[in-house]
Amino acid sequence: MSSIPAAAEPIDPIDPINPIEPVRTEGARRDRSERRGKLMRHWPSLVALGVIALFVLAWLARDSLTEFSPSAVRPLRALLPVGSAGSPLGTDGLGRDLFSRVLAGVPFSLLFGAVPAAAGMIIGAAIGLVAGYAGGRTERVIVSIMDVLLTFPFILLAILVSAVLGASLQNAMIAVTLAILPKNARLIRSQTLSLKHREFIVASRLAGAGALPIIVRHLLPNVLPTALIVASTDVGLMITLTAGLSFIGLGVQPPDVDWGVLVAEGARYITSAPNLAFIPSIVIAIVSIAFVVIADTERRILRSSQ
Amino acid sequence: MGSWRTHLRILGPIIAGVLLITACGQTPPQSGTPSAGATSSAAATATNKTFVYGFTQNPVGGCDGTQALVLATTGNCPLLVQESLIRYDDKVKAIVPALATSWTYDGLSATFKLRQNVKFHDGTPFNADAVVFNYRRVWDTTFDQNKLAKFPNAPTIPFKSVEKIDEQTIKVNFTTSRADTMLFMTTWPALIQSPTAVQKMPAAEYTFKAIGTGPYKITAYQDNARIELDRNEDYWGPKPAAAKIVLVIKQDASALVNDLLSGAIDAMRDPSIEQIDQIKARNLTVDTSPSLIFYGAQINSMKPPLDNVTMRQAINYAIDKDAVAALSKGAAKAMYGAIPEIMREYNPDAQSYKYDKAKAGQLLDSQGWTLPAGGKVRMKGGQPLTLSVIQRTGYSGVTTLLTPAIISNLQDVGVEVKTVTVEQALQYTDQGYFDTSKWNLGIGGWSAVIPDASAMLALWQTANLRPAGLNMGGYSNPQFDAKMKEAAAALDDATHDRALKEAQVILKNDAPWLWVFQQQNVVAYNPAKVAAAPFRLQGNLDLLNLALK
Amino acid sequence: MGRYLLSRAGSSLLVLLGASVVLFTVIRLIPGDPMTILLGSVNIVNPELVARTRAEYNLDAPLPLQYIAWLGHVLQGDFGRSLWTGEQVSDIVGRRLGPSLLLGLSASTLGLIIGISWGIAAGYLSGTGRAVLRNLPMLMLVIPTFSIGLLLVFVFAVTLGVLPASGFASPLEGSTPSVPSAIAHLILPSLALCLVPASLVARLTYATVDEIEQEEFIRTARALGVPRLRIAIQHSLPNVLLPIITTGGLLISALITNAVLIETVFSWPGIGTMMVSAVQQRDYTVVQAGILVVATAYVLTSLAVDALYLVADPRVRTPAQE
Repeated sequence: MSSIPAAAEPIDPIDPINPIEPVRTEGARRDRSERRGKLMRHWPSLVALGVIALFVLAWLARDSLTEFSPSAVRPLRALLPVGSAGSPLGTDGLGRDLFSRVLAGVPFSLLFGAVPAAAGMIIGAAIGLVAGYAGGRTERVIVSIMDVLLTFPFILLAILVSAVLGASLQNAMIAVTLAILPKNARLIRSQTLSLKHREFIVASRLAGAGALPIIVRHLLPNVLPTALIVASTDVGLMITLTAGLSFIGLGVQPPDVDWGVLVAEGARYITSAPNLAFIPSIVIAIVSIAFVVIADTERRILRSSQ
Repeated sequence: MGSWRTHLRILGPIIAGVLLITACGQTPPQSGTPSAGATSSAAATATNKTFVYGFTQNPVGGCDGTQALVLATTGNCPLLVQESLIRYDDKVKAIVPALATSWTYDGLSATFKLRQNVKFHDGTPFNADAVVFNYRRVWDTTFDQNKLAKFPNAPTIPFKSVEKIDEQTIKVNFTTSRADTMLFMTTWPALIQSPTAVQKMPAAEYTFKAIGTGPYKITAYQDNARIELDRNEDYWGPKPAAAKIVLVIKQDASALVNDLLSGAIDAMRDPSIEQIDQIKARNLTVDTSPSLIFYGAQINSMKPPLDNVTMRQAINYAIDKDAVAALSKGAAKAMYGAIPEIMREYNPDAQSYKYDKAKAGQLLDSQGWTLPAGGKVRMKGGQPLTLSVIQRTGYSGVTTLLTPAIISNLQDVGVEVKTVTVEQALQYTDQGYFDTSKWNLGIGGWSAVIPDASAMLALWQTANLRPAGLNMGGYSNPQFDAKMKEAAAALDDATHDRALKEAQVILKNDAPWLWVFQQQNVVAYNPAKVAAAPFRLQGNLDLLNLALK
Repeated sequence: MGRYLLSRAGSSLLVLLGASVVLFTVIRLIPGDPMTILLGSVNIVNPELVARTRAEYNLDAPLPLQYIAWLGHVLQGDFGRSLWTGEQVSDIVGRRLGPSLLLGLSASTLGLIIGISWGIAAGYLSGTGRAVLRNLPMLMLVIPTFSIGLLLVFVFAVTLGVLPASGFASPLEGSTPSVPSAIAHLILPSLALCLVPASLVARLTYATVDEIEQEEFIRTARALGVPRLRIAIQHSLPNVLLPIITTGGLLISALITNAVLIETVFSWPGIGTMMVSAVQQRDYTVVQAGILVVATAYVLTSLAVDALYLVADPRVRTPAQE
């Protein structure tokens, strides 16, 4: 956004979420790891993977796990508390089973996280690589466009996209992708800038290699670790952001179920049935955190191998 | 978000629908002369108290009834400040005198005898010239005043011309003879403004300072916030109870509930369902009364499988209407026929489709849609029974119950339901409900501006098929059309009502609509201050018949 | 430095102008006619009314002319009328700007205070405290803000009953203005809103602290027995201001995004919820005005941030750096 050079800071000004950590001596750590075994060192992400797998498996087995379908309105069973027979997590104002509805939200929410994060990184990285490598006018133009996109706070971008294309699942994903791709583009661009002048790149260029082969064969593999780490973190962020969009009514529309919609519906009953808002909230948090933990582990693995 | 959109959504179609009764040659459901002594219902005792009333929908267009895009929930200001020559009395269910003491109507013209010694709030006299000015302003496109503002509801009356017969008499001529013309003459486009005041300032400014002859005058108007009205002590008629009325507009219904609980306001309408219990727990009163609005779903009779009448009847039996009513905590009442119970033309013998899951199943079976062993979805010839339901975004209050309830009930009888959601702005466009290839059931409602069943039933006339009207489902039955025409041609209530009752029976048998509930007007008030807060049938709080303690 | 700021101001203005053009066009390309919502379905059968209403709102003129007319009015302070309520948009925006600014300022202040303290603690503590405080920011960023808001409501308003659950109370206007009531209504939303910026600030802070720790003179000071807290305040604090200012744009962006969610939870009458409803209702005039206001605020703050940066970092003041 500002024209202050970013290279002066050890922290990437656009992505304080993933600060480049200061160099530390790795010696002591290696000894410890050899003692504990490489896999067990990363136990948090094993747990995280387990949690995500649990949700997916539960969704696959949902017909046998739940007595009621997520859309079954049962007025006589309205607002049952947690632990009721047939509805372990309680029921909402229309008597719909919360457990069933939370499970129904699994595919939506995971899609919401994975697809925008992947698309946002693929497109953002492509833009960043091109901008960083090409330099000159191309780079300036791309950077200004990215800056303008960054000018709009995410939510306004999401609102506008939802407005143009309609409020729905797919369009919320488009909005969210658009929102993170400038940040990813900037990140990859700054990485490209620092890589651009390394000997092996310069050598390739002098040897006559074209831009595309250089980008694909040399730059891409080098930015891939960062890209992967950031994208993994983004999955968690995206799940939360898109839940936010659904919460304010711009994402998934009722009676379709997504965890954000569940929280919004539950908020109305916060005095009488807090479980309706908090259980989906906890679920969103757990799943997002799981992805962040996985990303964190990736960073440790990939950074320590550099 | 507020319930205003809901009401706007239905008022629109109703105005459209009513406009579509063109060459039907309807005549008035009642004779033009009032029954002697038919005055307003018992006047409440006048007090010196202030009544503060809150609602969420801003009266778009201000307090000038002719300019206002009036919505049932917010039409209070014009009705307090201005009057028409005649008025509809809910209690006697007839038109009674207001600014006219008597009148005659023969279909193509109406002659009114004006009330004497009435003054506008600005002191200028109400007389025949004033009436001529007002009517020309709204309807006469050659009149310069007509171009200075827009009058959204003007087309509801087939106005041709107005003449001053003498100082006390006015004659209005109409282009076509319609039964409901006089009913429409009691409402918005015919409300009388002070000509002096209108000519003094631009229309956009005037609407916030509207001057009429009514029992209240505007003392302060903050758009979308607060309107203050003082009682007109020189009013010609019975004095209403409140010496001062304050209308508070807040888009957030829960803020209004907080105000009610804290005593900042004395009454509010349409609290959200979840808050009704909370309000009652604090010993405040929640009252409901019938309205002219109902909800359900249009059935697309042009698209299989619901092009088959037995199938349509089956799904009507499949919906548990009482359950929806129970969930609404009184804001909705189960509906079993084509028009709300409160209407005079209501036919108790045309009611049907009480929730009967077994019967629904039998009817579906009879059409070949059967449940495979252990299956949840009915099949016929290898195809599953799938129905597509279209809805819009932005439902609030009672209408949020519709889609989930309908979907759930349909699933319970073995129907696979797909939902299509369109943005509210696109509802009545080709990307929305008008694309009838996309849906079998279209969630929506209907309402009438005037308490005339012809208006309620207008939707299903052949004349209302697309693109002329909103009969999107494609229902067309010449026998039904004939009954509607007969009602329109009837000179007396008995024939009019009988024809419409028969029309209701036809609709019952054809089931072009999935009836779910009649919406109720809900008001919550402080019983320590308010003795009674009745509603007008048209849906606004009857502030002229308020009773204060 | 003056010239630099002036040129930045100039380019910001261009950005704003460009954004307004794009925005103007995009909004009108959105499918869905505001007249449909405003007039209900009258438009189907009353084309004359539709034509007159559209003319009143200048919706039929060619786009460039519409834009110029709109710009002209905007420069005079006239944002037109809401297509939904008919009110003057400047009144609507004015009414919502106050609460938004109040919430934003208090959340930013709280965010800075909490974030810096948190970051310093994370930088100087050791053991589990350190681990917890360092991992918490990431958690805060992925736990949904609206859930935290609801949690605060549940604990403080529903269970303990000490603070109001929703709404905005004006300290100055209205029927019963009251500063204590205003503050009471402000606490929970500000707290919920400040957590994301606080996390970002905390993260920047402890990274700065780590960096500072490496410096020779710090190690010397520690070896000489200077208390750690004094080191923290004297040295880390000034150094962390720089990165905070640099990321000011991102912080404000995050604030605005989460503000919409918080406004929804607490029924706070701010610009965010105004925008969301306006877009859903296709209320062109309100959406335009809203985005213009937010973009202007954003540009102004980033200009201020740039200016602050110039003041704070002497390294950048030399013109050669441009």
